[in-house]
Amino acid sequence: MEITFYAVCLILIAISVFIRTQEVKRRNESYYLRAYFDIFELPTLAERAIALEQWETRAYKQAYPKIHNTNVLPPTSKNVISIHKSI
Amino acid sequence: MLFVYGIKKNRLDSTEIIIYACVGISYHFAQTLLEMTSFYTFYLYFAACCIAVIASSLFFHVILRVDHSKSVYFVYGLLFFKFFMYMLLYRVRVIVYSSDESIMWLINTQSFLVLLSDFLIVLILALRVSKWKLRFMQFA
Repeated sequence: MEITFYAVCLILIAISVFIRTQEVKRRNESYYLRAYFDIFELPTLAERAIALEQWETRAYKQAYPKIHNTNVLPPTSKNVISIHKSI
Repeated sequence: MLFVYGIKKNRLDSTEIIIYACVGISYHFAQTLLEMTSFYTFYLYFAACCIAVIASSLFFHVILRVDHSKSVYFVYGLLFFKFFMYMLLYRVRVIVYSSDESIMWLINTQSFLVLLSDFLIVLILALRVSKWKLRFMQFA
């Protein structure tokens, strides 16, 4: 019983460390650059076009999260860029 | 109250909403199912609650494809700490099976450390909800 608990705990620690490494990797800038070059290894042109579009969306979101949220999410008092606020 | 206020004021990220919802649900069930425990399974049960919070939070993060923030990893660390403290006391109580009198100092220390970690978990939520930000300790 007790050993099961420790085993589950160890598994959870391993999973959380794995998820953390994946997240850090995804936040790294070179991750998107590598994904860009991987697109050109796809066999057909149609597949490349779809993959490129998806890559652009992800890269745009990564580079400019505030502007991406303004364009994609419905407008709220938080994400609307108002000229009156800046004045 | 803090959690609902944070959601209403839109000050919590989805990652923090997931972890604190899991913590809240776990605490609720921990109180309602406490009567099912006995002298030996009491601390084991609370250790299982800590594990259940982490497992459910990880599950929802993976399913909903939400990235963890640093504060959530800090909460995981506190929950793992709580888990080990509960398991330590469970093992000691199995060995010293007659009464708790001889290990009262250990039970008191364990209670203090567990309550301190609970307080830190709530403090992180309060810091995230409040407008006051600590410059030297950015959690998000």
